[in-house]
Amino acid sequence: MSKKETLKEELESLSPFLQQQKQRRESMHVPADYFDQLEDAVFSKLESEGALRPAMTARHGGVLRSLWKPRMWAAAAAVAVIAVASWWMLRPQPLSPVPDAMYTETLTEDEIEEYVIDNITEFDSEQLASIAPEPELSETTNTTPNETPDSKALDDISPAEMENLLQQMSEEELESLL
Amino acid sequence: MELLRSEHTFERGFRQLMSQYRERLYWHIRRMVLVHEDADDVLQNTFIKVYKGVLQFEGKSKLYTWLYRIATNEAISHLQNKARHASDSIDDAAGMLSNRLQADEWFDGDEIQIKLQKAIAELPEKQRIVFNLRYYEEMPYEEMSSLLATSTGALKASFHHAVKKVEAVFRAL
Repeated sequence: MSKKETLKEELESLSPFLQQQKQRRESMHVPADYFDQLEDAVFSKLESEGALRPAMTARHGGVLRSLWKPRMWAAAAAVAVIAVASWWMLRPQPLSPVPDAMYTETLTEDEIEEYVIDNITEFDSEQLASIAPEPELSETTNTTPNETPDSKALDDISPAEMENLLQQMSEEELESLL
Repeated sequence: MELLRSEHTFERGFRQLMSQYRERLYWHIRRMVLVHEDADDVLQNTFIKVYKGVLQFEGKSKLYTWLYRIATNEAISHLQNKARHASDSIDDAAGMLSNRLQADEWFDGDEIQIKLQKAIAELPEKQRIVFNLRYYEEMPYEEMSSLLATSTGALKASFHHAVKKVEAVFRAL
């Protein structure tokens, strides 16, 4: 006995009315192509929920579409900020922020000296030595304290030359020498 | 099921699964929720749940038994939500269902068929599932037993009660 026949017998014994109703045509219907479109509808819903499996996300164009999601942009911005910050921190530092040649072009010796005196605590001894005027630098050489370059030069000239020099000098220059 | 085990063939496998079970599951759901729009929602949610959980399906029961359970639970949850939201304006869940059925463009039954659906909707939840599975889907008691985890004897008794009750309610309407 088939499934249908079994049910028919069962219903006839329980309720002939319900058995009779069962013979009537179906009153519930489904839109045309509903079942054909169902699969795509389910996949669209899965995609909108972000529940598609990774292999399918790529196939459904999800990678391109996901680029428009704010989450992706936030992640990209964070990566960019980290990259720029890393480059900034790790870039090679120049020994002097301004080339030495520029000092000589834009600053006079007096201006440099004034700046150094005003900011003397900012410099260590090596830096001070490197920017000191030449006569002062010569003090660190092996000359004796009483032996200045001027006096040494005067020793080397002959008495005749000395006489000649003295005659050429004005009275004020002579006074300053004495 | 083999196709579902590989990422590359998963979509094909899942489409096959949907294609194989969509009509049976649709009508199972439609008999419970009556309205096409609701049946569509419930069926889509059912397949989404299946999609998310199919790899955890251990194969202890038959695949269609597992699918029917998910569909049944989804339909029951849907009806409960509808009844909760409509409780302020409509007296009872059965009345709400039959009203919605009459408004459904995909239903063209006459007054007798509307009354019959209303009488079925008056059944308690489990009895209604048993009635629908037997009366409309003509499911054998053995199959129903594994689906509902109930003995065939209890299911026969439940169906007999349900038939008597539906006829009685129908006559009273």
